Amino acid sequence: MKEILERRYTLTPFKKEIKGLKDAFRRASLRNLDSMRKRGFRPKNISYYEEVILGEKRYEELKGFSGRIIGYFCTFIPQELIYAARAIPIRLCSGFYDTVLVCEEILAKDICPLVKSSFGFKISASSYFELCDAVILPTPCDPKKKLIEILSDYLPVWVLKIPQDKTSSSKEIWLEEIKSLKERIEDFTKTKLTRQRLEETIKLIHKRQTLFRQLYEIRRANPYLMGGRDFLLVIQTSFYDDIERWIDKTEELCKQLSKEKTHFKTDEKIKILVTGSPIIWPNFKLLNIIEDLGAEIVCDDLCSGTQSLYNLVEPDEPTTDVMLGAIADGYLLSSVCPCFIENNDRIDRVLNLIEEFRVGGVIYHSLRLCQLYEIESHRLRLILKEKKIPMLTIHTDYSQEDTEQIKTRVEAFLEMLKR
Amino acid sequence: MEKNKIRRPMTFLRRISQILCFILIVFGAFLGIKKQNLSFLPFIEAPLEYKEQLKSEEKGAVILGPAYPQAFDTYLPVKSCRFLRQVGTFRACFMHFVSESISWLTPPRLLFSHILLFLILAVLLGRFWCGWVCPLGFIQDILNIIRKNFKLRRFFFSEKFKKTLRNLGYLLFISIIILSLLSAIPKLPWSVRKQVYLSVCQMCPVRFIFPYIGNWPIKHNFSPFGYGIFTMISIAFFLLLLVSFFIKRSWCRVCPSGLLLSFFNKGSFLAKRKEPLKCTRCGICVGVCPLDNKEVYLQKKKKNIDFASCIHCFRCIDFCPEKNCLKVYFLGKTLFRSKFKR
Ligand code: SF4
Ligand code: SF4
Repeated sequence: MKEILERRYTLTPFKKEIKGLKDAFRRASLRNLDSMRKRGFRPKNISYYEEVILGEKRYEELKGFSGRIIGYFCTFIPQELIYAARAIPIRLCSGFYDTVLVCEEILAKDICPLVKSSFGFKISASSYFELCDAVILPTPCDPKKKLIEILSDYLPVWVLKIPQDKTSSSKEIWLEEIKSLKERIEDFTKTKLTRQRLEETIKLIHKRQTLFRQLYEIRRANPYLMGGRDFLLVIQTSFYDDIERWIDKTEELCKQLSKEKTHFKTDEKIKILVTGSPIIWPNFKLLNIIEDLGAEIVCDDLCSGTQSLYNLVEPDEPTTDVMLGAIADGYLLSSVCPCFIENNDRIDRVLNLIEEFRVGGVIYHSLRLCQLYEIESHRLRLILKEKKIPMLTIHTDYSQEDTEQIKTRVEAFLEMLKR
Repeated sequence: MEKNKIRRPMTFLRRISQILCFILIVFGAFLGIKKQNLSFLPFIEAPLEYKEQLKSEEKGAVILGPAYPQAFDTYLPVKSCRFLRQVGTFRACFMHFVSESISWLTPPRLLFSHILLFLILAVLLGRFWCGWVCPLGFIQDILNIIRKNFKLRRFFFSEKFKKTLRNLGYLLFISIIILSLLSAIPKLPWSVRKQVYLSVCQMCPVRFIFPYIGNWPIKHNFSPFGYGIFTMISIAFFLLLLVSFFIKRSWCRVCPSGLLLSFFNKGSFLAKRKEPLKCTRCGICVGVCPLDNKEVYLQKKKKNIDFASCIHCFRCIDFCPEKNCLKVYFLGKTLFRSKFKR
């Protein structure tokens, strides 16, 4: 097993306790929830997800967990491997504004807010980040790459190098990466990832993904059963929540909703597709604006949304090599991350969503300083223009300052769609 | 969730078809299905001379020379594989027909109806035979299932080697034609022509399978070492077939029968269709394909996803998780479509 990080210079990690961070997070979360609760119909057990996203209970629960907790970023990390080692994976991508400010004390301002926000949590030693024994980082973009280096002073960091494309030679490299990650996890947790364990966890995650797809299909049949924000809330709780409990609760939710189907009529709302940079709790600013203005977010292709639970790992047979291959394929091939040289898959995905959900307009969330998504918006805009589908690009970050401004723009866009 | 739901309907149907066909082809004569020497299809009539010869054979006359004076069996007309003379009914392979009709320089007027039958079936179904009927395919699938249950590792041929095997298939096909032509030279004495007569059957891996499971007492139709080089080749092919324990459908990549059918795959009425937009490029279809074909996965522009090396097993359609992304098409109708499974 080759070490990727040499760590020639080890620095003392910069840490800074910030008071009231927890309260601020709660406040930001409640602000979203208040806005979401204004919606006429919400499924009954959505309150469970609200509680999980607030995080306090789950945090205590994880604190008491005796095994390893492994943090990860992005949708590229095979959670199967982590679960197979009886460890708990926690996705650390964050959308919290206050920690951005914390981070800006040591890092420059011109860095993507997601990285700053997540790293801020580490600096201020709060939230789930503190509980993690190790963190796995992929290399989709430059900020994440350098985050690896910076974080290596704080805790063990494992790197998963993402290839530049999805050709067969890249697939081989990626498979090697997955295999070495497996060894690393085995080393770290002192548990062997046996064939049976892999099989079990693949089944477990497969169950979660199919359940999610079930929910997705329910919403496709009738998007108004559940708001777009509620849908994203359900997805994003899965980043932190106990997987089996999440499955149980979501099964319940699906049952509830499929019963509800008959009573609920489609009304005349504008259907919106949200795409672009990740939108992560509690940064639901844009979504709040859209849905408060009466439009409905029917689908998304966000890596923090649908994409994180949609893709399946489907091994043809339960042999170790085939399973590892399926894991590698499952996480690489259907990804729509803009880190690949050619990203036709994303365009196809968006076009397909537009067709399947009969979307009225596309809103492109472009996180400030997230260059990859920003660049890609250009091609997508031209292609959508050709197909006569209106698209609005919103450049923004995690701060609340530009709320009014965005509101005016979205309002005008929705007005145009109505006509 | 119902418990007894068939998760992979196409594969399920295919296994049933394979088992039935295997029994029919290999042990059909035991099942009360009378082994016939003549075609039951009205438009395919055996030539008169042959009928007479058969009659005299039945009466006990000893016929010198080859037992097959005329070729009149493609695949449906009842006539078993020559290694299953006692127990089999019809054959799934028509290479014998190709070879025989050349060897005996059968006049085209007698061949017409057979070629017509072959063409109709090939144009309708393409390589459907390979996936659903062929007993050799079934044996390979069984070998692979055994490995799967022992949880042994699955191996793959490299792309390069796959190409080599395919080229070998072409070579084999061409040499069969040439050898058959050689055996047809009337001036040569029979003892010489005999050496290359029916070379396709002499090279076939089946020589080491069917006589042992079908014929009691075991009787080789050829003395195994009488034809030196061909026997060596057939041993090699038999070994290749055994490789399917580790590499799915290893023999199918060479099989000349499959090769001939594969020319009809592109235009066959039984076809696969793909909705390019719906495909998420998840790659699942590559992993489940017995021949690890990438074409289904790669195609993102056209709806037509038929290509030579597909055996119409439709596993890709069984496994594709995108609703309506892949479809089985037959005569313009959708028979089956991929769907997301709960
Ligand atoms: S399984 Fe279906 S969705 Fe996945 S790559 Fe193949 S055709 Fe596309
Ligand atoms: S491409 Fe599909 S139908 Fe063809 S052989 Fe492969 S799995 Fe079977």
